Amino acid sequence: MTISENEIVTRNENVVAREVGGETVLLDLEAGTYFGLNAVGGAIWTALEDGPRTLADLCSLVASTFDAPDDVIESDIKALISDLQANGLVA
Amino acid sequence: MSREFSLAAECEQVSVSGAPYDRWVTPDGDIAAEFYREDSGFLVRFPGNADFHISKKLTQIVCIPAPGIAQTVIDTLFANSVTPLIGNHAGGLNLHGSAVDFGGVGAAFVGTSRRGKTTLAGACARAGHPFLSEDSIALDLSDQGFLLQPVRPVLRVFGDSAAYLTGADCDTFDGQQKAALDAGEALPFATRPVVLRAIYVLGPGDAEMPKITRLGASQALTEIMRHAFVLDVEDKARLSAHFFRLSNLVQAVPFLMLDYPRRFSVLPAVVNLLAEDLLGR
Repeated sequence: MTISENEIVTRNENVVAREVGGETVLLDLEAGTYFGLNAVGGAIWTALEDGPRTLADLCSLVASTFDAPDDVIESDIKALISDLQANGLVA
Repeated sequence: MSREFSLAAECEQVSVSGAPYDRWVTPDGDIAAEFYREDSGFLVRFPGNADFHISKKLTQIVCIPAPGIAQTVIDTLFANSVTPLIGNHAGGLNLHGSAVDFGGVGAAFVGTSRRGKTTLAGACARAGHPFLSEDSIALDLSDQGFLLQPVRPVLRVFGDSAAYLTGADCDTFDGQQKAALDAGEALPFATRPVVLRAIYVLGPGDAEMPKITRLGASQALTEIMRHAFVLDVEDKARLSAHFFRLSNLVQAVPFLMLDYPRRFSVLPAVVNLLAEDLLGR
């Protein structure tokens, strides 16, 4: 599935998160499953806790915090969002 | 909060209408417990052993044993499963595992079933380090940190472990059933709480020699969630609160992976390694 820049990403309200040791652990309260996010994933999750964001917003946010080429950031974030969508953590 | 426990007359377990909202399944695929809702609260069924009816406010627990079930089985289910379930539902922190007092310093062992948590606690006790619990770890937060509470002065192990821990012949114990070994001079029990210094997650037994490695915090948190007692998996507020309590534990206490070959002859070296590791923390 291809994710467009304007696609709005919304976090699942039934997921709680906690940062431990520089990583973010998500617990899906409905499914009872856990997921670990690295620092970039944690930053995206924190942004989504403030409300829905477009993919472009998320890319800008990460680009302003982490040092990496834009195309790499976009590709990594698309992969991450796809993964989160597949696991029902974001819509 | 006061709780009233009563033991009713034994009775065949009749089928319950509706599906359970949760189940505990052993690594072998057997159902260890089923959780149902009832008007007055919860029914926790241990198939073939006993039903525990728990009131919504957790103030009343009624146990109905299945026919022919020994009192020791009821005591074990109550102490090692029902009490920690209720404790966590009420905001406490209980984990599935065993715990040992190394000279005033506490160590807890967690891991999936049949990883050797109780045998290891027994091996520590045999070497003079009193055990605090064999299957359920009860933690309280204090000014000193997390305190391990003494739970029950009994070790339940399979026949080969019982023979090793007591020095008896293997034929003394039934190899297929767990034996209950009471604490005593040879297997001392800690009667006072101790500060928890580290939690060891027991590995699968692949290591060629005893080995301790540090677990990352997120890995520790996902690991420890597997060993928590949750009475109502559909109660999101409580589940979330429990997740945060476990997060606090992970950030306060080192989590380590302990792996060793599952041979009795290796256990003294494992105990020594643990004692050295704890001394350095």
